[in-house]
Amino acid sequence: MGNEVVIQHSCPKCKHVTTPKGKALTLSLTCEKCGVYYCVHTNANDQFLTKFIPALAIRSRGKIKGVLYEVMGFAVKREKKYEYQWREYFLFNPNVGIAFLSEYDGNWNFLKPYSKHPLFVSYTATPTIEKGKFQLYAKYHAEVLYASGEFFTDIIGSNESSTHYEHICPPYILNFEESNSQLGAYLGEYISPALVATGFNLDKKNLPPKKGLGYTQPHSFSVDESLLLTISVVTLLAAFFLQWILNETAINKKVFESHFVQADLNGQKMFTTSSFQLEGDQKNVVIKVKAPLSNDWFFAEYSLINDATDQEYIFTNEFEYYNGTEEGEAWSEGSNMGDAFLSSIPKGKYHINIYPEFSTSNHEFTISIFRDTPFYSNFFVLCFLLCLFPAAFYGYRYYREQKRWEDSEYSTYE
Amino acid sequence: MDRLRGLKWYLVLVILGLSFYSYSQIIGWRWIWSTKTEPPSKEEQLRNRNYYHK
Repeated sequence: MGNEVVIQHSCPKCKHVTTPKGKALTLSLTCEKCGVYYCVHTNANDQFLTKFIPALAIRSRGKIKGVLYEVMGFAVKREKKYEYQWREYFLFNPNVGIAFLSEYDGNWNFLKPYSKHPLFVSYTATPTIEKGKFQLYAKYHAEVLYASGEFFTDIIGSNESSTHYEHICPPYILNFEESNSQLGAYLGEYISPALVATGFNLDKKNLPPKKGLGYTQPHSFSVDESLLLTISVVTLLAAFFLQWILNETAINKKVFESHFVQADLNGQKMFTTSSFQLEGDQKNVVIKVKAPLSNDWFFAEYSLINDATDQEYIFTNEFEYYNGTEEGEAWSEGSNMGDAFLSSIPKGKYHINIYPEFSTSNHEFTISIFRDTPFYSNFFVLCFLLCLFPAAFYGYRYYREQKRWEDSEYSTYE
Repeated sequence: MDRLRGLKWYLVLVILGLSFYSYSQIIGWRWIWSTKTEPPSKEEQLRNRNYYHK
């Protein structure tokens, strides 16, 4: 204890003596009495015009990622071109080293020095490290608007001459500072305001209110994209294969066909078909009706009746066909054929009662009945439904990424 | 299993969807554009039987 050297610095303006917590590591500090910022070796000093209150008090202690840090210094910085401001808290733990908490619009990043930054070797807009491939988000020059506490560098001198590169790969951020005299690199990660508040034993309400999506903030909902893509593709292929198998195994059999003429009604209102057999357990039945229409319509009510159980299925069908020429050009509309698709009709012997409504010009029609006809609509509905979640996920992600990058000059989103 | 985080329910829905689709195809149930059928009214029932058994 007796050999410990006490380091003290005297304010160049008011001569107030400060004992820095960082001891010999402290290279710049602000006077506790008059607030002047000064460098311990050069005595270069600055008086700030505006005072800012830090959300994390100088000298307060908090645990971030399991390490207890002390807030050594606080700085408010401003980007020179667009003039947006952010706040930085300089943290120190004697056993672990330095770290920073950076806050902008209530969104926080926790940064530590990183010696393996690819920009130490050569410039690349997309540096790749073990955390992933990073993309350039911002390149700027900053100025210090305010500082308090103590720092291990001359934060005003180093910031004034530095070019800052910020690359992101959410939730990570790579910072690189380059000046004529020094290089600095930091690797950071988004940290939620709640974790900052918990770490420093503060009420979250005392932190700056969070606005919008932080530029390194991870999405609230994320999935393994390659797995999502794999599941979607495999499922679509499985659906396609099932459709093919079911098409191949469908009976698709014409079970009845007959031609009817109005004159055969003999004053009755309906035709009755002869009985026909519907095979399989539950399968679809397709009734196709044809009539030689020309500028005419055909309507009929049908009653499919099970001979054994008298179970009835009543449905109607109408079709029309119009044609002509207008200004020398032929036109047509509609069809002289209509069909009805009946789902899940049990097997058995059936007949159909047909109640036709003839027009004045058409007096005949032909009916064909098919059992277990292949159909595709369910397949397309299934494909649509299967694509909903991946489409919604990628749409949501695109929207959020667009938001994330909207303040960046290097955004690839429109 | 961590890769499945957030995708388990999707996988379950996919399996259920494929099963339901297969079942529907097998029983010939078209989900959309199926012709609407109605059970007959008593009057229609009587009318159909009378005609048929004439």
